[in-house]
Amino acid sequence: MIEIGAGGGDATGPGAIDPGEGSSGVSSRIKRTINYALLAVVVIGLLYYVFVPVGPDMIQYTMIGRNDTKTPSTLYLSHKAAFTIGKNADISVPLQGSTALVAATISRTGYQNGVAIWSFKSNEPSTTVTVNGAPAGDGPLPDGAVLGVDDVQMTYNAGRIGFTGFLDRLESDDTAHLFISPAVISGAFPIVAAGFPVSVAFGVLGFVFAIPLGLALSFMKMAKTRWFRWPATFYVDVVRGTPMFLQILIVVFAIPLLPAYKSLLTAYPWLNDAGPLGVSYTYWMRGLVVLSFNSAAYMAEIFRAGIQSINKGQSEAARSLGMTGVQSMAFVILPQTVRRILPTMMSEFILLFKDTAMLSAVGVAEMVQRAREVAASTFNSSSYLVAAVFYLLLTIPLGRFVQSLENRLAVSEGAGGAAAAEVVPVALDVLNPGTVVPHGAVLPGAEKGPETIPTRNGR
Amino acid sequence: MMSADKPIVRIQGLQKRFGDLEVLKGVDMGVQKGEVVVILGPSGSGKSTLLRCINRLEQPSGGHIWFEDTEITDPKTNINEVRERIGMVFQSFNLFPHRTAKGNVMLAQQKVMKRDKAEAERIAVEQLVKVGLGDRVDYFPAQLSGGQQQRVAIARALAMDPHVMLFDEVTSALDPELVRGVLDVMKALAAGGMTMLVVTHEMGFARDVASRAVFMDGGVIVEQGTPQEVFDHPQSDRTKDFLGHIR
Repeated sequence: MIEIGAGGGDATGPGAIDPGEGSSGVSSRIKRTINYALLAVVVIGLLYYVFVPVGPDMIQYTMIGRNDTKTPSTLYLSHKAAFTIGKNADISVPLQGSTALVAATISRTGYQNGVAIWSFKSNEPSTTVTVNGAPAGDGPLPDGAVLGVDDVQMTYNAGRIGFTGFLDRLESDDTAHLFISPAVISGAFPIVAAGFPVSVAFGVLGFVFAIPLGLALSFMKMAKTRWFRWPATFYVDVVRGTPMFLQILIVVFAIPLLPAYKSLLTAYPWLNDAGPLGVSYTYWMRGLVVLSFNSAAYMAEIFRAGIQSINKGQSEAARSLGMTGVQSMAFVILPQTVRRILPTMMSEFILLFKDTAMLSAVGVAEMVQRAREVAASTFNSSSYLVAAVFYLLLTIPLGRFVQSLENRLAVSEGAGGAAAAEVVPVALDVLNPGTVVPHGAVLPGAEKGPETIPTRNGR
Repeated sequence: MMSADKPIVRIQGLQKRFGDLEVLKGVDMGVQKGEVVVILGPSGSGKSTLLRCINRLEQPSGGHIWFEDTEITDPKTNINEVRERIGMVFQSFNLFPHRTAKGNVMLAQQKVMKRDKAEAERIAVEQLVKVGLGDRVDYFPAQLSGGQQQRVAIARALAMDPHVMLFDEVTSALDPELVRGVLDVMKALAAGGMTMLVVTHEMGFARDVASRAVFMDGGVIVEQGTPQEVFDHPQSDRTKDFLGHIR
């Protein structure tokens, strides 16, 4: 449960709200309170699940007695020693010398109302398993029950289960282990980790290529002549109006049908080979085309709004000094635009980074694809958690950074201006950027009234 | 370069329309070299538009403007070359917020006049010292008061060695205590022989510094003359009415 929303400001805790702010402040305070309450419930629930015993579900066993010596000896079997990773406890009873034999298998088959259900199976005709002296039947075990396997006796203890016990419980739980199996997670970790640089590379490169494309589109959209404006508008409408998933399918499967593409592959057959990070060059090409062409459409709007948010007086001042339109754009308007749109651009990057997951649909071995392969081979969904953690590894710090950038921008741009006191640090909900500039907040530094920079809604 | 009686700026039948709104309805005017012309008038009278037409920040709808030997209103004129020689200072300063005071003054020198960096810097500092900001060269606009920002804007225009300076209500956005510093700079400039066209509501400044006062209303020049003539013996009722409201 991660809270990056409007409430999660670093510097201002829930108590630091200015009492003078308007109704939007009150509603955000309520939202914040609800968020914190939910978070508290989840944390307390987790702690309870880990550390408070819900029944006689103990991992420690005490074995008492050996038939051949009569001397009581105590053997502590940690759950790790006694349980194979899985559900079963194999009780090994040493016989004659050093030969070990699996005499019986005690299995935890699951939980009922939080209480472990056990099953007992002897592996030799002569061996019987007893509970408190009577032949054992399947079911829950009372605390302090004495288990016997032939003449070996073990005491079943209740108590706090601890973290390893928690992991073991997860592993043994019929339902939970399908989603959070520690064994599958540790197995999936290196596999998914190998996809992390692939996802990052697709995100970063797609973003970098999208910048000039987006800038060109934004200039076209601002052009005086319709012959530039209309194609750009059409392009942006089409790209923003269709699912990226569909765009990936179209680009990846349609481009190879082009004769030009075929002759390209004939001329450069190595393009089909595995390239950097194990992804073939053809996939790099097509994947980056779809990512950057898609992102460019969104960036075009960011650039356009950013450029138009710069006060007209800036270009007038530049032009009055004899600068050409291009010089004015390059040395006066764009440098200011860059600072102003930086936070929005970074959340665009976060979105694009997350969207690389959709490349799994066409088999690019990025994180989600790898997680899916693990899930398919283990019949277990735990690997998806690993992928989620890797995404959060980048998105949460970046989101925080965007937020601090917003705040700093609001301060620095507003410092000398008339609007300094009114500029509200813009809260940025990175994981749901449709809500980026809430309540029509004034863009920091915008001199001519409220001007917002559009951000796409999450897809 | 030109004879003494030939105006440096000559305006003939200037018209400007914004849609249906006719802001300038035929203005004729000449400005001699070294003259300080103060343009007065109620808001909406077209005085700012007149100024902005002179360096073609507004495209005139009709009429002609000559600057020195160039016809500004000729579409074939390279307006950027002309603008180099016409300095303009705005009501809202319009400093470049991403550059320091010095950087503001240097930018156009380097990009337009192609001065090298060292020379541009030398001239920038020189101009900033001249407007009394020698100790603020490395400050960003946001760190300066309005009056200081406006003086940087003046230095920025002066660094281009303009032949004419246009001042568009340059003190209107300033707190009263900051106005004086800006007006002092303008007075010194006028005393140094700079040709200036000044749209202002500062009557004291107009009276002291102007060589000619022009009263505009409804898109035309209603009355003009020496400041004494216009202020003390206004001929037109509209001028009298306006001056009565100002006092």
